[in-house]
Amino acid sequence: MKSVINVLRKEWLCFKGSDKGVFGLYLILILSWSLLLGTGGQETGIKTGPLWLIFFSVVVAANFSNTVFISERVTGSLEILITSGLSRNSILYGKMLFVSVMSIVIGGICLALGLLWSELIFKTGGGHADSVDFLIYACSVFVNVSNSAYLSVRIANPRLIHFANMFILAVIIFSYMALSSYFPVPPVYLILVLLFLGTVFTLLARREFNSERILQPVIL
Amino acid sequence: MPSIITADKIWKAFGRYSILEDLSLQVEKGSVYGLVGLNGAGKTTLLRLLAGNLKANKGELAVMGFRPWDHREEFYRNLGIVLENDGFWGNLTIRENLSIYASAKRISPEKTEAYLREYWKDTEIYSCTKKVKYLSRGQKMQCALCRAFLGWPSVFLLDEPAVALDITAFDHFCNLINAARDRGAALIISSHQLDLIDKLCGRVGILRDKHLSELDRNKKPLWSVTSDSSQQWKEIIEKSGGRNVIFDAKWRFEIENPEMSIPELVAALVNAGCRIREVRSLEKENILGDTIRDIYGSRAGGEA
Repeated sequence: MKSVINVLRKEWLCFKGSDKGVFGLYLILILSWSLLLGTGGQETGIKTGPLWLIFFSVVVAANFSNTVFISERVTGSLEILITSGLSRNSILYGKMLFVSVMSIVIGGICLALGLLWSELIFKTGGGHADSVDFLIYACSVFVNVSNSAYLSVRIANPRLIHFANMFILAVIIFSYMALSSYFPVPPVYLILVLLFLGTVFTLLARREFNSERILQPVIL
Repeated sequence: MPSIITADKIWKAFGRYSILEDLSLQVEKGSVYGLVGLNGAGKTTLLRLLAGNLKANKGELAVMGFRPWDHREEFYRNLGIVLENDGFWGNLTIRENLSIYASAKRISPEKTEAYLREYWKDTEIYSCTKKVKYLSRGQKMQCALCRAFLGWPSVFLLDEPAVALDITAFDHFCNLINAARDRGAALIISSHQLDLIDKLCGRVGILRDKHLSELDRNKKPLWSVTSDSSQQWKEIIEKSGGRNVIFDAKWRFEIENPEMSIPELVAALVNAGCRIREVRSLEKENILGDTIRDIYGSRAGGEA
């Protein structure tokens, strides 16, 4: 556990030390997304809700994952981290935890701001997304993070990871929506599917992190 | 001294491409082992195998009694490493980088500070507050050395550790190597800087054609004769008093009393029909460089 906290601390320090422009980009992302959620679909004509949140999770989690999982392999700092005495599993879990926490915090801020904008600006009487949506968002973050961790080793091409994440989540959400159009499917099933997939990808990522492939060159 | 690093007939291949074959190596405590070879000869692969970052296809590896691929925490806590990439987190300062590394190695902040004060106070990196990404290559290398020697591990694996170091930093690096050796550590230095290897390493391994051949610095050949490789010349050299006769692009051997023996040897070889192209006395200081350059040269010539 101490090793996981060490990795978590390291990731936080690295994030904190980022250039100011990075924080600016996150601010823009949060503002635009929260405004979109705040409209509840009335202003834009686009229906928001779980689907948007899930795609938002791809944007946020994959962005963090790129830095946390890929750039360390490019710079060689992952190899140093591995030879520092931290177990490979704790490195994996520490990184996953960091990306998950950051993505969930950003998603939470978006939702909270969305609620605020809906009251103050759009007068729609509350944001469209609710706590179940947020839970779906958290679970899709888990799928994104674990899948990014796995694919960062397996594919070693960061561009493809975004597509892969997007594709997997699109398949899940559209399947869910298609099924829902025929008979009512409680959201809990969607949450369970996401949790199951996240667990499978975590196990695969664990296997990859304990293989030689983790230190093979990354194609940018 | 007992061996702290042992490789026994290891093989390593990446897919169909074999890198190392049947490689054996022993490095004792309190010694510095030099590793040289052409680009792509497998030096970094060997270091990565010893660091547990790669797994050998065949053979046994033991470092400090651990199998590196087992990835034991105790193993890594006693390993100092410099790799081809500096591996720093560029957004952090050197102190922040060291703090993370020390924490992973369970070295207390007090010990880290004491180490920095004792060994790095007179260097520019001691008071450096810049983010690592703004440092020069030489400064980064100094930082990498500072990180590797933190906690004075028992085994050091250093891949091109003196690249881009200025004169002062290089002297400091040599002092650190000597200090580590005096503390009983075993060091493997892989480098293309032959002067560095010559200066610091007791034993030198040459990696070529997937194999490791060792150059024993205590049995230095002193003379060389450039001719063809016929075994007949070896017998003549030995009859004329040559010892440890080897052929590696040219005949190399030690010889007692060369003022007397060399003219006799040359006459004997010429009389036997040997077409001598050169006879040279090899300076002890340059023998490693000469030998390796000759080996590299013959290999490059052969490939051409």
